[in-house]
Amino acid sequence: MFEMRGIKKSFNGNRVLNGVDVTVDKGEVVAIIGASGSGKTTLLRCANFLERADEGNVRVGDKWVDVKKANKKDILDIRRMTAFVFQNYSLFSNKTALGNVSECLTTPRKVPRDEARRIAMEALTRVGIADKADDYPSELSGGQQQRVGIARAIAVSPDIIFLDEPTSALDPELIGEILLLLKDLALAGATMLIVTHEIRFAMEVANQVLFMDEGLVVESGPPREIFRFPKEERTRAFLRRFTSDFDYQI
Amino acid sequence: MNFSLGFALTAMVESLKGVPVTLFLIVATFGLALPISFSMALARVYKIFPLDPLIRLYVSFVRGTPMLAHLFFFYNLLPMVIRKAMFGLGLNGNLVYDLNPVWLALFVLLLNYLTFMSENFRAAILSIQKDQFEGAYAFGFTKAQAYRRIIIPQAMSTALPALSNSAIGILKSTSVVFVIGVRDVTANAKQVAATSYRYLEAYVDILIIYLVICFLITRIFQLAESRIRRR
Repeated sequence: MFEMRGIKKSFNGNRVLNGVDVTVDKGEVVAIIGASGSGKTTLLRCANFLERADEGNVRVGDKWVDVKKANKKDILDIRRMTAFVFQNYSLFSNKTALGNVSECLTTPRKVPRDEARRIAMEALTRVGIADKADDYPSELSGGQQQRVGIARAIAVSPDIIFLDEPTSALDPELIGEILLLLKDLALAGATMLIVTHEIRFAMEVANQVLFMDEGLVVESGPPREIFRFPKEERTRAFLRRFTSDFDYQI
Repeated sequence: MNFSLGFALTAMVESLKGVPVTLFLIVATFGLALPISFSMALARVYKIFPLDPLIRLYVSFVRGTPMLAHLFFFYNLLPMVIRKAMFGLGLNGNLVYDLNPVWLALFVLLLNYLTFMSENFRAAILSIQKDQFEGAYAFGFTKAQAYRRIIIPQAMSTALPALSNSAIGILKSTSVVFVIGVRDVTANAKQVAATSYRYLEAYVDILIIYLVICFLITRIFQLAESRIRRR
């Protein structure tokens, strides 16, 4: 179970998050949608303290942390219970695919080396790139790198995986396969909080959708309600842009 | 003007006797400078007060003054200071006159190359993308763990070409330490040349020796680079 309560964050006096609440139950997938600059990514980064919120509480499992009082240990605890998939993969460029995954087990979590390698290999197999285990990130395509990013996230068996626009940096033909992979993870019971522009993916996979605008959750609910019968005008305006180019043809 | 091959050979044998000292100075300077200069680079990157301004001052001082002047300056200053200090501690300070000048040479070389190498590292650390830190932090690495496992290895391989230049710079700089009486390659060559007044042969010899050592250093760094740099 994951929760954020009353998250507020400003950058140089510029309010980006205005008191946001998020709840993700175990095994649930929550998708955050919204225009650029609405605060989605910042919210996700506040969840694991890559960005430190000014106010609010974060809860992972049984651990509640007041962001104002969080010390180094609290932050490490939260980070070691969670995983993050980055838009630009952020793989360690000095490590192989296998090294990228096993490093996250051996160094912060003190998993013995052999066991870490075994778990890492399992994770790479699960995302379908076991054959690239010994390649460095620079030798992998974007889609393959993101698979490693996802393998890294599942290998640490986190309470929740945060995904920040995991397909936004990918070529169109690769987006589908990564989304399919994420869908498989969701069906297998992974808990995920995902910032995405893939409306169809959110519709199919998410249990709950949050629409954010100007640092607030404007509307939330099951995807079918949000997408079919949006109550708020701002949600409607946002979705109109997407529904018109759901399938673009030339 | 005649060039005596025979004497060139004799002088070569004599000059080669200085190679261990020259190599020692290179290896010791470089080896000691690695961790210290990296720490200096960190202090500068993170603007740690008061280290950051002090290091900046030190770097600009050393860079703006010739190493030969440092050698003369510290050759006169350091033994005096150490002698006084030793007497102060109740030790026999006159022992300082038995000190091999090679240690003083090492000190001055270190003083100089710390500045260059810390700049090499500073550039390398700054060149590492922010996402490498975030990738590590997001998975629960502490700052020290992120540095040890991710950042330092990357900074090392980025800094390698520049460090190679610094190592060659150290090699070349060792050729002036004879002025404080260190028996390096150059000192040996000068001595054997002086006994026979055949300078040209001896100086050709040391050029060859320096060239060979330089080639070896370059080779070592090339090997290290091809090892690390597969990414």
